[in-house]
Amino acid sequence: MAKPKVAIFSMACCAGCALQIVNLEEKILDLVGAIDVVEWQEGLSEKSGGNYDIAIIEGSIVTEKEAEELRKIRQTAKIVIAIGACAHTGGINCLGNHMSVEEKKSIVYDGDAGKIDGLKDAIQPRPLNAIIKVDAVVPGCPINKNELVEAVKCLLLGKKFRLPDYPVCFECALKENGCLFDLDIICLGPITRAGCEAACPSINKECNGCRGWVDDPNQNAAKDILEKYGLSIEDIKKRFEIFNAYKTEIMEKKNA
Amino acid sequence: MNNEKNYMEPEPAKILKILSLGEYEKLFRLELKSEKKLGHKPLQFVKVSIPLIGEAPISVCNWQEEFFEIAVRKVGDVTNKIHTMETGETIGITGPLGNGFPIDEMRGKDLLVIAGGIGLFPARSLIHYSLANHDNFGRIIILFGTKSFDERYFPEELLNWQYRGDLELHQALDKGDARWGGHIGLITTLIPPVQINAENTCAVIVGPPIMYRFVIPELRKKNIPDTQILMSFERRMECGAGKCGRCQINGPKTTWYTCKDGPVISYADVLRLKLKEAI
Amino acid sequence: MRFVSVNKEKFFELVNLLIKQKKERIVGVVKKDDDYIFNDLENAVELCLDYGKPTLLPPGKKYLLPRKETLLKFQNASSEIVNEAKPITLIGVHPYDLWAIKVMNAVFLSEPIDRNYAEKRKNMFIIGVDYLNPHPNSFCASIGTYEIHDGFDLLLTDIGKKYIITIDSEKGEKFIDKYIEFTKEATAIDLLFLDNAVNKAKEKYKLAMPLKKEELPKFLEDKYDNPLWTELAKKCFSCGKCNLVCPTCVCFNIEDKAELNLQEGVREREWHGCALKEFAEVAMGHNFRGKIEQRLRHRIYRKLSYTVSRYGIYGCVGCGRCINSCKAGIASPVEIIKKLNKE
Repeated sequence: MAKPKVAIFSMACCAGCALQIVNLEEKILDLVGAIDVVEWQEGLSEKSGGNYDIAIIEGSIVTEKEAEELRKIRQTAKIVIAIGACAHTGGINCLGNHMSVEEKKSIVYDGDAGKIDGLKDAIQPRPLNAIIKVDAVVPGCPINKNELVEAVKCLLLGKKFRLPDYPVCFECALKENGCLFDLDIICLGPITRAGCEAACPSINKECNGCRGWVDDPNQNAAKDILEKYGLSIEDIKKRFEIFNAYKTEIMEKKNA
Repeated sequence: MNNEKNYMEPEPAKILKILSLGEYEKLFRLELKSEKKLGHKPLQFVKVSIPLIGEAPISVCNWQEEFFEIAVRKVGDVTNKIHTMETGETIGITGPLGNGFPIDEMRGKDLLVIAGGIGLFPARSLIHYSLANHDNFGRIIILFGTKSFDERYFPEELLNWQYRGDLELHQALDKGDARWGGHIGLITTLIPPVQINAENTCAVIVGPPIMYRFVIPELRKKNIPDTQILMSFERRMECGAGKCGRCQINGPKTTWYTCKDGPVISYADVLRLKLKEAI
Repeated sequence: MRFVSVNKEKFFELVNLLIKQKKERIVGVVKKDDDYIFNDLENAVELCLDYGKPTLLPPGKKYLLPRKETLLKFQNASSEIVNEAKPITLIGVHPYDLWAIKVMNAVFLSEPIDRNYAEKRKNMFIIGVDYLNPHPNSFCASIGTYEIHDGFDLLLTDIGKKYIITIDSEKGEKFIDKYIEFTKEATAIDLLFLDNAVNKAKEKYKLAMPLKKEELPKFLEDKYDNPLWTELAKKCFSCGKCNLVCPTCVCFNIEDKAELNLQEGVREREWHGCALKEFAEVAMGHNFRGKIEQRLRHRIYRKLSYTVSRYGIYGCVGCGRCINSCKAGIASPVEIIKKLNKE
């Protein structure tokens, strides 16, 4: 069997998720043994120009040009995997989406925005699935690199890659962590999708929901708890939005 | 390590023959590599294991001595994978599992099989059995309802059943089709016209979850005793051994394991055990 | 039944000896932040045998049904059973957790016997300890799990400067005979102290099941459609922690994991829980217990009724771990029965 052709693309992001691939260290050799990386900004200088078995994409879409590039990748790739919060939920790039693009330009560039080429076709930041069909998601900021390897293996075996549909709390308790709420630390673990092996709560750092919500999060229950622990509705909304502003935006539009 | 049987260990089985049944369905004829016979009862099932992919519970769909068959709809990882396999390849089998059809209890009864859609697959094992052991039963009546003309799986066998004379087959399609001159309507519409001797009839329902809710009242209208209304259930299963807890059907009084206590249960037992989740 | 006594210092010396011998894994209760966990011991001083709050994860489940357990190994299309059980000694198992192991036995040692569980149980030596400082969320006294007379090898009871050791197995007898120099035969007064300690502890429980446990299955029979389940569901995250921390929640998932060469891999079982959304979901997408209220009701019935009809043993041992772990504050079987009982 020929090795599957894999391409890795970076859209608007810190490129930290692709860096996680480099961080695979010993596993990267196994991975390279199983796949053929034909295009990668971070690791290769050449471009292969299409027909990928798997396209791995990090980052959110912030310009028309990127949106066009993304559509082209979709046309030429059999499987598209969105990796990282920016590609998956829109991530922190969507935090400013309550303002119009023009408003943001004028605040940030103080009237000089017109002089910057890259800003001409700026759009409201979007996750990949707002523009194209995505076949699999490896969420997180950054991604859990083991999960990416699992996803690739599943896809190579013809299995559906499934994310857990339960909250971080389950994995946190599995690790025999005490609960951060008991230390008066407000944590979004109860509604955030597991799969990170409770990376943050395990080092006493609260969960900020970088992996997005479980399929139907009990947001009312979450609000109850957060209120019980002294957060105002405004605070709660802000916490919810750090990585999930796009989702909130969509939901508000739906409810309006 | 001990030599006692471990229910987690599948036995290798060879694919003898593959037949396409529909857009998403295929039949696999199998034989255990040990050449041991599976020795299943009608309405029992096996766990199919494909290394690195997983396991799935699948009903045995025939009743013959020499080999066993499973009919598989592509719905998940294991079933997708088995659809890519070819004759001569090996899969893992655990089983036969489950209680199966209560042959002794129903001896001498008229058999009324009500199969909806791919419910025909498990029902086929019972139909084969009853034809091969007709002495055990009185009349054999089959009601088969399915969505469309192309979802009439085993069309040749259906044809054979229709004309062979030792059983009665009534079919219904949910939707009309130019190729179909028979009855159109839901499977429930086949029940009222059937003439039966209710006291001596054993009805067996196999179909999608929603079907049971509508078929049972029709059978009760015909005065078939609840003890003689049998159903075969399907639930999520991981172990097939009554351990993993996934296939439980519960109610206010107790819980029932589809894999071990079932998959076959009478409506009388569903009521007696108050298994509210059943229907 | 045979009793011996051991001075506390002597007991810790003995534990250190066992650790040094390195013949088996020695696991005991240790502190982790504000909680307790069962962990491999490096030195007996780590042991906290007077712990009050039940350990985060229950010991029976942690070591007899590991949260990730390999069942089969695949290599180039051939598969091989994996059933590895190394000798292990648990020190500090409370009576409710010993009761829970009885529930596990009922599930895994009934036909067909679960070979992996059986092998692990056979290789486990259990040194229990009586629960003399009950946690406010434990309610063992009211359901009779505050004490236990079998299901362990040795059971320690703290009577001040020494432990009284109850011996309940051949393995336990052999162990005591082997280390006889550490112990003394128990005196009549020792046994009085033992009874006194256990009885005094029984009075310390702050939480109690409002009904006798024998009444619960019948009581629950007409509560299946009670609006309380929907009420509770509004607050439930389906996080499954109540399942995870429960010593008698033993449901699992089985999954295949491949190596990157796609030739080798394993079949693993992992803990699962009936509170999780995907518990009863089938491949075609239908969920047989799709609603939160159905799932949390199943857990309560499973604990207080179903195991009784199925195995003749109560599924709730009163440890209160579910109460400790539930952030929504809705998991308590006691509160649920109280609410159902008020109507």
